[in-house]
Amino acid sequence: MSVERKMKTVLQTSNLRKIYGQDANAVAALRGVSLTVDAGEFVAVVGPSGCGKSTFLHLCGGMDRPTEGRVMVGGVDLNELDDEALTRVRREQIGFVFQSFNLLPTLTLVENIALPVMLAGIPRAIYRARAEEGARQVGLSHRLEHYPSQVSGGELQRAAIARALVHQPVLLIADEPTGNLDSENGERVLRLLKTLTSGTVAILLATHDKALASAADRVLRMRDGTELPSPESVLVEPPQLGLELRE
Amino acid sequence: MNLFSKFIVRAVFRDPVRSVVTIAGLTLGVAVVVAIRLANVSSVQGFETALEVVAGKTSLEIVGAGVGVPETQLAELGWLRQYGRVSPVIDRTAQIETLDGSVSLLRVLGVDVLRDQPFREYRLLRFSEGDQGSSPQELLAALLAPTSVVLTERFASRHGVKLESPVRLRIGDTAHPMVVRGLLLDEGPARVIDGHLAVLDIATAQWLFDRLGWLDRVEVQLFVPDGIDIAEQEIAARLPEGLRIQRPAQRGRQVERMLAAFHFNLTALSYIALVVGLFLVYNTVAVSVISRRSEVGVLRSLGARRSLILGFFLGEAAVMAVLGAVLGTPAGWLLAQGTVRLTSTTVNTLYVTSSATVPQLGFEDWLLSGLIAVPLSLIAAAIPAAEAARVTPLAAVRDADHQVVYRDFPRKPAAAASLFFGLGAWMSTLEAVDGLPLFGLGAALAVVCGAAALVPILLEFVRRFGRETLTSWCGVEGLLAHANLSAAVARLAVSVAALVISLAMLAAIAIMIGSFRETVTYWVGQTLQADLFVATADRAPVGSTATISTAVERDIRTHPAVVAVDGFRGFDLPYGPEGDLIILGAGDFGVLLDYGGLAFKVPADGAAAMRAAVGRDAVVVSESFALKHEVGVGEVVSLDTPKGPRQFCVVAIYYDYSSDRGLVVMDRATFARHFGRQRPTGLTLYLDPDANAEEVRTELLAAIGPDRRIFIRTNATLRAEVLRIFDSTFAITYALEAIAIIVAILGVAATLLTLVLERRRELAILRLVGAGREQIRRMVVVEAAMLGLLSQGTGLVVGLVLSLILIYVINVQSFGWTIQFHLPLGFLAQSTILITVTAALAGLYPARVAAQIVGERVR
Repeated sequence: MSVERKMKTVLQTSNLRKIYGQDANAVAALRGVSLTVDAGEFVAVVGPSGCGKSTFLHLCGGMDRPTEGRVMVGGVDLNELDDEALTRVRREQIGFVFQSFNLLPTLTLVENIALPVMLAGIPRAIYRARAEEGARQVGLSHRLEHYPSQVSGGELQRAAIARALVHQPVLLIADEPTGNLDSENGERVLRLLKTLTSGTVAILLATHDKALASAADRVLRMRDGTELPSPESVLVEPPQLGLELRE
Repeated sequence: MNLFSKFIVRAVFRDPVRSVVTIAGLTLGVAVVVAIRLANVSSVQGFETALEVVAGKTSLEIVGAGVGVPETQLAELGWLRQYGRVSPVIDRTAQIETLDGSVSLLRVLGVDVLRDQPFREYRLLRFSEGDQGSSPQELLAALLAPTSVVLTERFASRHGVKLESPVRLRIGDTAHPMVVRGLLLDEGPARVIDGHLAVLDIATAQWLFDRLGWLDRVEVQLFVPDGIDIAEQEIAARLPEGLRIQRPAQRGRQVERMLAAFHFNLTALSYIALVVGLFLVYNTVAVSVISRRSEVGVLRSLGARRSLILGFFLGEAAVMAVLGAVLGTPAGWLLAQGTVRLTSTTVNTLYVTSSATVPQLGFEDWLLSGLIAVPLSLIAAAIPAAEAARVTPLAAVRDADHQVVYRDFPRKPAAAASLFFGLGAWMSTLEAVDGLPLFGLGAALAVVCGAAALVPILLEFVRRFGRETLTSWCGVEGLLAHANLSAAVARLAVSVAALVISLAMLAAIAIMIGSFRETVTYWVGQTLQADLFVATADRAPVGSTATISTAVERDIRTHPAVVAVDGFRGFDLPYGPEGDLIILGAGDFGVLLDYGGLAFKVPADGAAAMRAAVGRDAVVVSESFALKHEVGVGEVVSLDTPKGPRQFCVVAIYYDYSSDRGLVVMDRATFARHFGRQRPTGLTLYLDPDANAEEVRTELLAAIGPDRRIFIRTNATLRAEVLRIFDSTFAITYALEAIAIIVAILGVAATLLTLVLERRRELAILRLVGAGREQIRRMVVVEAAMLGLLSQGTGLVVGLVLSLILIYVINVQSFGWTIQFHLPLGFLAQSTILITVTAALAGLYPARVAAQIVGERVR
């Protein structure tokens, strides 16, 4: 691996294994997955349910620890970090978007968006401005003080994207981000992801949606906890996307 | 039943912390109620058991007015023998010094052995084999010498006393050398009060107790016991003036009435912890209903009837109640051991000397616990259970937001709070019922219910207006804590209400006791003007009739530094139609007015009124006497005297906090005219202004000599003693309150834990977006501290209102005392800090659990 390449690499996993349970009850969720994602790259992870996509994403996001193998984010080996340091990596370098949005129902949208920077201890005036800017970018300026229960599914997911990016991470992990949305909102979310991250943020996205996968720079196909042979992991041309964002 | 075990019992085990906390809360609640009941029973039972066994086969007794039956009248009562056997008795208490150096309190019976044998079954212990008893002649022989005393076998073996052992009987200020001439077998009266009984010949007893010419009572054993009603009427009609007839049990009833208010208030206090425990039941069932709403929906969609669902959740409450009762009853018995120690100090100091031991648990105790815990728990669970029964089958598929979140002003709680506060205000204006402050307690209960209804309103207030403040105080953790609270107003309301009630009671009791203490301190300062106080070493503080001997009084009066002496004589006297025991006292009004400082309630110039009472049939009465018996200045009270009932004019009412039984005090000359000359039971000494009280005390003790058993206290030590007794009286109050608060804080911790477990997903999201474990911990602790602070703030305000009811309604109706209101600010500030910190600490475990939650659960 060249020095130049190493500098651009955001995520690198080596022979990642995850086994749940022990002895007779042991279940191998991942059986050795290696992947490298560079800055600005969009990688889709596809495969049937139960193939280990979510487990792989959790390990990459530092939400869980592998049984074997390594995860490097921004050049840092997550295995070597204690809980506090791992939390700091998540807070500063990684953003998450989920299928079921996962906004806190008791906070307003602007508070939800601001959460990562609030938790980082940034002064209120600054985090508020950054959250409002994030909301503007995803077209939610008119919904700042609304609670999650008061907005639509598409708006919830846009708020989740804004939250995932408000602290300017290097890696965005998205687990079925359009799974709960209709096709129109799904397309809109995809456009947002591509636009807001283009060139700077690496995206690792798990999906069942072929259209969404086809928008990725590269596809990692998985089955039974392993990656399928390289001919099936292909690089594709990114589709042409237009942005029609609302203020 | 099978479905119940699957649906409810399994769920109880699935959430063991909440179930255990609730059952623990109920257990403590039941235990406190049982403990206080046992303590109350034991204090009366100790007295009544002794009374019954010592009374033996006595059917009726003739008693005199306070000072006893003049012996001269015994000859005039010869006609009593038409009805049955007659036995004169001296019945007193004394201290005994044994060879092992110990000093014990003894019940001393002075009897005419030959006449008394049919009344009481006591037999002498025989040391030769085959002997099982003694004849009256042998007992008489044993008691013949004036230094003879018969003790019990049980007492003797405990103190290493044998036949012919020398002992000393301390009576009044004198220790009399005696010799043990016999030991009573461990049966009958010899077993009473754990063997602390001595028998003397009646003449010896009269001599030792300074009762020459007097008897304490004359007992009658009827030939026809069934004819007791007729005999009682006939004898009453023939008795000379100044004597009364009564049944022995009446003394027990008098004691019960005397203790009624004290016991009633203790019992009421004991129910606080149970009420708090019931809030936990409500909370647990409510949480159970909320967390299983969709399951209920599934059951309903599969055909379960509403009544079945209602039965499930009521069954859950019943199971917890039964467990609480089963565990709480023996726990109450254990707790009663300590409670009896605390209450018996008060009972023995202020009411009656009684040997209280905790009775063994009987079936009725278990039954009572069940009858208290189960129905009350069912009532507590009724609202959430009914809510569960109303769940529609659609709830299963919709999984709708099931939490009641007040978006509008909570009108129903507001209406309920207004109603309860109004009810409380009205009830606080009503009179006592048979001397018990039923409406006063009703008013307090209404305020407590009003406070509980107020809590959702306050939480809503915090939800609407507290976000900015909390965020600026505690940063993002404050914001998140506020958000969590906002989402669970309905859930938290019950736990917070329980804590508010406990804290309100604590604040109210602290204010009441603080006010009372300040009042007593002021009263002591104003009335205890004497420099030295002389009393006998008799340790029976109530109704003590041990007198100061002439020799001691002479030594004291002749000391050059003593400028005035007031001799006080007091004894119990039945008063009014119910025969309530009041204290009749006699003192030297002249000395009291010249040197002392009674604090008069009415008239304004009480001293002048008192001075005018000297030489007349006039009395001053204590405030509690005036209130209890509804007597005012200028009115007349009728007191039993040895010459029959006599009228005395009430010339003044004075403040007194030494007894709630009521005191009637007359000048010594008036007393002597009606009751005969009696030796004083205490002396108050006024010294030359230049004299040093401590030095005079030492000189007096030296002059009196070590053989005389006399306590001389200086003004300062007596004041300290008064406050010590005061503090020990209220120790039980704080102990009961502490238990209620522990239960309530457990409830808050359990609720927080439940909320944490229900919010696992949200906590996991927080961890995902970068919240550290420490931040999660802080968030939960801030939440707990916020609830503690809110509860304490509300508790203080509600406690203030409750304290007004306690001071101006319940206290006045129970004890008849005026208490000046005083806020113990230091205590309240300290308790606020303590409660907030404790609540925060109670949040540590839920915080720890919350911090363990990791992001893997999020999808």
